[in-house]
Amino acid sequence: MSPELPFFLALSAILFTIGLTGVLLRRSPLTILLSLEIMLNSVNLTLVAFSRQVGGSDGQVFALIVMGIAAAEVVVGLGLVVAMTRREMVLDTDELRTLNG
Amino acid sequence: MIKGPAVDWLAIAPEMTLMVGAFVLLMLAAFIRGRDRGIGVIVGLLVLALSGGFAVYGWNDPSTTTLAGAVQIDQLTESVRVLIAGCGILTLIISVGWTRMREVGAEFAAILLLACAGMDLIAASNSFVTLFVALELFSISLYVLCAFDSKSKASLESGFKYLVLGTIGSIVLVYGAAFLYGATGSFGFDAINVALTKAGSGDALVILGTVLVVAGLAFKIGVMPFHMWVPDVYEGAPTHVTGFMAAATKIAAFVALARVLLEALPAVRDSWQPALVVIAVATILVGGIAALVQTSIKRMLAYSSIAAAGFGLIAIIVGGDVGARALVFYLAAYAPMAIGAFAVVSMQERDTKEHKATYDSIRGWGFDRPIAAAAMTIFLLGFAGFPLTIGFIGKFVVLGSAVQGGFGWLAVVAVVGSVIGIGYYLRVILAMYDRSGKSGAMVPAGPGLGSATLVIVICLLLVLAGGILPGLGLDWATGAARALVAAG
Repeated sequence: MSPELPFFLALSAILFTIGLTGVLLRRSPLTILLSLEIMLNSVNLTLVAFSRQVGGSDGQVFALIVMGIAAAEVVVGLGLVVAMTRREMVLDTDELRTLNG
Repeated sequence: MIKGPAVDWLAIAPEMTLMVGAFVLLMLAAFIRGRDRGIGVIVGLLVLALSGGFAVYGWNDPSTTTLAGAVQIDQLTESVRVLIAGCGILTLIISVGWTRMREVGAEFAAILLLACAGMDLIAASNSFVTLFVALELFSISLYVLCAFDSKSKASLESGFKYLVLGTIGSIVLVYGAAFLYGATGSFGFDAINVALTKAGSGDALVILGTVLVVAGLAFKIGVMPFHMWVPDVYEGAPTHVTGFMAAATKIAAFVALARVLLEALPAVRDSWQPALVVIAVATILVGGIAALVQTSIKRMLAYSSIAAAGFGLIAIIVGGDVGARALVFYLAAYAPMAIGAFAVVSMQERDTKEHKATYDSIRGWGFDRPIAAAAMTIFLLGFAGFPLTIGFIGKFVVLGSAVQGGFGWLAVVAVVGSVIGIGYYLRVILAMYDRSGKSGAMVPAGPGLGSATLVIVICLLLVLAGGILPGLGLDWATGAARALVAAG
């Protein structure tokens, strides 16, 4: 194991936790989408770090694919936020209680 | 110039058909704006039928891998392709009667095709990269489908909730895949299996990766403790989409779990099996008890689908030839019952113009719509596992596999869950045939009932035929299971 690897993994774990906390605690849909992006990028960091460790480029290629998919995901998320604004819904997840969840 | 891998186009024809069909439909949608969108449904049905046809055509071909081993095509893949095409066709037929279909029909059909393509691809995946791409293809399509009724706040809310929680599931899965990659140096299922068999299961990275991968897929399937999105999303989504999710998403996500656990991670069975046992028991009991206290029919069906997912987990826990066969048959048996039951709910909603079917709103409805109510009775009895329905055979095969695999006590828990199930299914049946209800005057047939009736009758025939003559289905499940186990 290369000496830097644990630091990369620790940083990505911290980012992952920050993202997850954001998703669970923040109330604005936009901030939630941002937090999801932080989580996805922490995974990318893990992939690239392991790719360096293992050798070869599989991990980096996968990280690129993850980025592409994350973009698609956010497009749909932002589209939903726009649609919710048009329906004059309050953009606060505490108010999203129509479905008593 | 980068040289790409060789592509066996015929082997991936069903997915390609669906994707090309989806883009053709989106293009069409741009040109037929403002006019009748019925053409979208017709094109969608043709594409789905063609995709199913390709799958049947390749049925007896030997197992192959293509795209540099990223994709494997075996009998399990072909079976899932046929099942998904069937679910897609039935969903598209029900949605003909949906009031907003004239405005957004072509787009709806296109996104549905993309979802089906993702589900087909997931059954064909042979590496975590393919698995993740396929999973996201169908998940993102489903987020859109859930929010498709953009005039309804509940539908938008369910789409957004599904997006947030579904994305967490995907991220956890790919985080786990990254750890497995770090431990084994590969994303391919075969290579991971080889590396793990050699190294044993002691590595912390492997255990962490396994736990995260299982958790991510558990999110997608909707089992305890990752089930909280299921009732909200099932309730808020347009009902025909809910039926599709209950049937097709379950198939795709369970096949993904089976591929990962039985093909990539059988060497570390000791670390995932106990966790799955706990999850299965909790899922069956909590899902069943929560379903008892619901007032909305859709929420009740959502919790009952959570409990049903527990049965699928039992089959995966047993594993091997028997478990894989039970899983495939159980998933196939669950699909027509789920689509049928949600078709009845959408018919009831169209009938009463209410957007929420509750125990109160269906009181006495059985006398207005005798055929639909009789069909609902049979679907619910099927869920509960009564003989002469396909649901009985499905549960029987799963319980049989549990006993054979030495998990007799899990079978006992499953039976307890089934007994709880009878409680909430009977409540619906009793409410439908309650003479004190508001009924009496025959409601004039509203628009959109014909398409729902057609689907209900098809599902009813499948449920009864599978229950009375299960032989064909069992033979087919044995073949599909052999593909899964042979690859593992």
